[in-house]
Amino acid sequence: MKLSEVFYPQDVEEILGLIRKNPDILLMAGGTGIVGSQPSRTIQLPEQVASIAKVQELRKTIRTEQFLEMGACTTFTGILSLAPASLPDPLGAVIKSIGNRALRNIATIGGNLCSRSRFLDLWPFLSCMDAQVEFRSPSGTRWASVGHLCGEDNRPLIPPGSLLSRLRIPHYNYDFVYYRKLGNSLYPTADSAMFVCMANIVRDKVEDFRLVFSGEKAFRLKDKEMSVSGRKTNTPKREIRGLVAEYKKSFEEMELFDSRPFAALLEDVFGRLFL
Amino acid sequence: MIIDVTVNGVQRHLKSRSGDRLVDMLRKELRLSSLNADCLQGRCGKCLVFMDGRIVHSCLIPAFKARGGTILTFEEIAKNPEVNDIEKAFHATHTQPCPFCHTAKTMVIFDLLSRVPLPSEEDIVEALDMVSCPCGDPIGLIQTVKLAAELRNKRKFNREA
Amino acid sequence: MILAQDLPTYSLSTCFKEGIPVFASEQISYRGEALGLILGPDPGSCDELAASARVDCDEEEPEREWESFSSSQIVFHYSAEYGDLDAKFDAASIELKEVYRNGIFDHHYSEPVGALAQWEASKLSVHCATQWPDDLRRHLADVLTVPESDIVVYPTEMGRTLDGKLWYPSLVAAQAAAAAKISGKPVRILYTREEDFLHTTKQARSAVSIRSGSDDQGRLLALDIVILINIGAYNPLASELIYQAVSAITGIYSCPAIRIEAYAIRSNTIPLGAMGSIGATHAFFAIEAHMNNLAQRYAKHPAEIKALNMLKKGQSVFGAPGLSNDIPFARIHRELEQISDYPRKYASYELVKKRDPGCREGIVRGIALTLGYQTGRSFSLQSGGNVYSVEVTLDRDLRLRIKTQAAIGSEPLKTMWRKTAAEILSIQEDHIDFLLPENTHSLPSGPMTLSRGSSLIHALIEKTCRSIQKKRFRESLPISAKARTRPLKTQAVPENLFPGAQLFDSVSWCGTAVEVEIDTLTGIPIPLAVWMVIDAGKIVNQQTALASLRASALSALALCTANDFDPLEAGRKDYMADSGLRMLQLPRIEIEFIEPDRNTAARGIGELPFITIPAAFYSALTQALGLDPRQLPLKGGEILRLLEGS
Repeated sequence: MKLSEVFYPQDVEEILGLIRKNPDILLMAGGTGIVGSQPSRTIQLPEQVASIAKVQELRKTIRTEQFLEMGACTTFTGILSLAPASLPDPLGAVIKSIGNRALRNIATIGGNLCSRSRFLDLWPFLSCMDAQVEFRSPSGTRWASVGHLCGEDNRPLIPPGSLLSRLRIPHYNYDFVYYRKLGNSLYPTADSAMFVCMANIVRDKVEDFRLVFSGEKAFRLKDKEMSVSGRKTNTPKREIRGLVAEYKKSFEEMELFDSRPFAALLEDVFGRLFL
Repeated sequence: MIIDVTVNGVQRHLKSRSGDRLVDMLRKELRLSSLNADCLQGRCGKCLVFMDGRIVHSCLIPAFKARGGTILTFEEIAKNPEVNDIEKAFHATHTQPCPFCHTAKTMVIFDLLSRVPLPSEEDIVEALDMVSCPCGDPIGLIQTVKLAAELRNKRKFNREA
Repeated sequence: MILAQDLPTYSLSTCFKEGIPVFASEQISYRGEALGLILGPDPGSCDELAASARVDCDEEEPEREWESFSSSQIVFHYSAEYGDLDAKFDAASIELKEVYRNGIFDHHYSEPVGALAQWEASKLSVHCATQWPDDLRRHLADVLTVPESDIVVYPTEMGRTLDGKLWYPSLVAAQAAAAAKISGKPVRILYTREEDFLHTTKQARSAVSIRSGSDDQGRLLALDIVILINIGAYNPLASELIYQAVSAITGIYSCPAIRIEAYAIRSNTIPLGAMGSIGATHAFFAIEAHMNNLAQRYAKHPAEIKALNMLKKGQSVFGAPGLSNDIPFARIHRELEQISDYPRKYASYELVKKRDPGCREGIVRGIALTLGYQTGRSFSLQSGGNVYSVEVTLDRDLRLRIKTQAAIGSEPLKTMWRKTAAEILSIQEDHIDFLLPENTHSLPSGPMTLSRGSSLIHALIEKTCRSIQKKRFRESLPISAKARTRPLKTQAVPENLFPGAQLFDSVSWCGTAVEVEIDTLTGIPIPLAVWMVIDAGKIVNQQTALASLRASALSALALCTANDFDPLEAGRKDYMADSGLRMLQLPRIEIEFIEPDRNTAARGIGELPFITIPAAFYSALTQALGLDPRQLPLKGGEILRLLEGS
């Protein structure tokens, strides 16, 4: 068995020091994604691993009037133990739908966002909510929109040689929230995906419309979102059908996933939004 | 490598390799037979332990991550009078689990009742969802947990009274 | 490393009688077949060695095809004919022919397969989780050319096996025993759950073709049935699967002319075999789906067509003696309708379907009723298949020791047996212990399956306890009593005689209703509720029976909603995707017994959910869809495709 070198950094500075020496070091918080995807006797790990779950700086939670800020190593149970009012809708419900309680006791928010093989459940929500993440690297600190953790190939893009240290979610509840989880309910598989749509309804008009569908790849079209925003909720059905057809066409052209569930969900969400 | 960890109240220095799972280290080094490394995916629940006070799947945790932590397994939990209540409830509701998930089901019920003394059906279902075994009659198990809660509260109340 | 050629002493006898090699040597029959063993001090070292091992072999095209098979693929064939088939088909007003297909399913038993073998001089001891220790010992003696008296099998405690540990553990035990002999050390083989999922036995897949001819009222006049069961590379229980399927498919409905051909077909996939109902699931699914189709052709209610064709008192098929009693269909049906609200739901879902045939809007639901039965015995003539024994001793301290191989059975079963013994002997239940016989083979025993074993052992415990009770105040303690069932006589399955007809006096009847909803966005069928009404004579312990049936009902539902297992393509992703039914998705389950306190013999009930639920689930699905896809399971994507095409 190939043995790995394991480090136990005590603070962020130590983590950055390790990254400086080896940008490919694996930073493991909960580790549920890495370990759970290897149901064989021994776990395959890279040459160097840093166990960062106990770094206190990465477990802090701050609440302000504008946002909720969490350290990347906050566990799902840790998030759920916050007062319900401090969690933007529907974050609590989504987190509760991930795995089971024992898994949520170790899985972290940072791990969920840093999955390199696929987008996990939180990414589409946080992307819709315009959440921000802080990346720290030996060269400095920068904030990025969660939505930008997606490459041009529509796959997850995690900046190499950096540490996702904090997540900031704006305190804002949308009037219309719709989501559906597809596929295996416990572990993500090839056909697992999350469909999320959020919007505001202002004076019978749909505003701030956003729609994300993600699994192994991600789908979001900002220009299409713009064309939906501003429409009246009583827009004629024919027009809505045209919008749905355009959305579907774009989706099919991108050849990301099986378009059948997407089409059904799209029809459902537009049916609800435009009465 | 050597992992320093407190298991069932005793400070241990356990041998492990970087790719070993916590469940395997505990079974191999301490012969804790209440644990089973079965699905290795965190769904069967047969490897549940308390780590730093929280119930976790020890198959999903690399052994090295337990360093400096506190682990409680069924062997220690079984000393609590709560486990007697749970056993009585299993018996009374005819839901005795099979030998492979008995400890797991006891652990999740123990965990639930120590967090929520009067659990709702939703709480119970959420807790039992941590164990998956074909032996179980889930409807009967919900009754088991309710009865175990009742027995526990009665015992505690009487004692305090 | 130990390979087939390292076993010279055993040479050709490394094969089971059924032709199953302990290690593949000249030919690999399926992906995952053992070629040999790599022995090491711990699993990690074995993995390391295995990673550096290389297997050189010439690849041949695997035999995938089984529905159109060659004669060399036939492992077992059964055929029977009764009545003038051609004349009856000529007289029929409606002829209907359909093929119904069943996929491969994993058993999801409690623990993966494993065995531990150790030699001391010429004596072998084996610890193994097996449902059939006697059979395992016979196989080991055969394979290792050792007298049976030199082998001791210690059956280990087991969880719920769902009939997945009938024979495969014998193969693993033989591998461990051979390796222990060569290495001179104890050898333990323990599959990981993923290995078990990918490489051990699963429920066989089947294709059942039914051609029926019926008169203008819908009465069956002729049935021409072909049952194909794919058993994969090997299955020593092939004949049993066939007999059970044949018995089930012709066991409920009256028909003056029947021809039945049934084949167990070999292909290059993992061994496929029994699960839950040992062949009957396939057959009941097919015949019930066919009766529903027939009802549709006559524009009648399925229950009406079924009642019209149900065997009645005095009637029989295949010229067997007539039924001594009516099938309790009417009563079961009445009670089932009442608890499930079937008539109202059926009518309203039909109405919804008419209004919205493509299921574009609203709730898409279906409900269906089916009837099935469970027999209490096996048909094939394997040694010891139907033999069970019990030895009971009441000691001076009023402790009762029950020696039986059924001591490996589940705790709820033992609770039930304890209760019976305690009542008869007026002793405390916690003074009763179950022990395996010292020499596990001093008491012969058939397999402990879902239906076989438990009710027979219960009867034996009752008998021996009564015998002790009679003697206890005349003789001094300890007193012992032994009892065993009589083995089946060889003429029990005469040539060309339908075997099921002899069993109606000892069967358990069950009516099951299942309500299903289809998620129109994903196409995934969601079981909402299951209702079962069971007529199985006396129910010794209702709570135990209910708990066991509810657990089995969930396993049976998981079969209906599982992913179809493709043995040639299956890999880690399939293991990861296979999570079964979760606690969070539980349907409502209601079970009622008909006169459970009456003074009759207890009958087996464990298989009833596996026999009736898939058929009812499928029929409910067809009502919801308004289509008949003729296969189980159905993935959400396939259902969406079907809905789109409708």
